[in-house]
Amino acid sequence: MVFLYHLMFRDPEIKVMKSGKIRWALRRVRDAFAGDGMRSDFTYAKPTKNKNGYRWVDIEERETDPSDID
Amino acid sequence: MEAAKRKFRSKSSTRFSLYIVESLDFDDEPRRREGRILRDILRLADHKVHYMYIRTRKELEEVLYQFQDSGSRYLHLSSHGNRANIGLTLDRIPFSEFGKMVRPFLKECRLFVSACEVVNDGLAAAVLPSSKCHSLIGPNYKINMDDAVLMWSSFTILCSAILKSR
Repeated sequence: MVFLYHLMFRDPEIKVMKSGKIRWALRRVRDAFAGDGMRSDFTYAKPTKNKNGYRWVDIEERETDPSDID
Repeated sequence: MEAAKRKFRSKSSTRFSLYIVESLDFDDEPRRREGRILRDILRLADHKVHYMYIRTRKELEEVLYQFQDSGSRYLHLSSHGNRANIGLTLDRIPFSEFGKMVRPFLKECRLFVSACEVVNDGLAAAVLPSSKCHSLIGPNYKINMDDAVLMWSSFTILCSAILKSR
C-alpha cells in the first residue's frame, strides 16, 4: 500500500524533508505497523539551544496538515 | 582532526539521497543485510541511494568522507548496538567516540540509526550538540531486522511523497 500511495502522490519537485513531514511520516509508520506486539515508534531528536543541546520531539506535538508540509 | 581541514558543504550542496552504512555480525552477513534490502527497495522507488558495507572503525572513518563527498543529506547507519555502544562487525564504539567521529560530517544532514536501543540520551548528547545536524531518528528499543526494513522504507518513501494532489 505504501508503494502504491507513493506512486500516486510522489512529487519529484519536493527535495527536502521538513520537521512537520517527518513527524507526520513517523505517525503514519507507527500506526501502520502497530499491533501484534510489534513496536513501530521511532524516536526523534533535534538540536536545540537548551542545556542539553537537544530535545526529543513529540510526534503528536502538532498535527500538521500534510497538504501544508513543504 | 583531519575532517576539520576539509571544506564542509553548505545546505544547498547536499542532495535528497540516502547514504546507507551497514555493519553486522559475521553470522548475519550472508542473508540478513537489512541495509542492502532497504537500498534495493528505495531504488525501486527511484531514490538515490548509496550503500557501503563495513566491518571496522577504520572503515567507518573512511566511509564518512565518502558520505561527505557524495553530497547525500541523509546518513543511515544499520548495525547492532545497545544503550551505550554502536556495534560494528569487529569493533564496538562507545557513543562518545562515535559522536566525535560523525559530528564533523553531519552539518545540515540527518542521521538515521537502525540499531537496537541506541537512539537514547547518550547518543543524542554525543551527536547533536554543536554538530548542526538537523535530527537523529531511530528506535530506542530492541527491533527485529525485518520490522526495521519495513519501517525505514515506509518512512523514507513517505517523507518524499506529498498529498497536495489530493
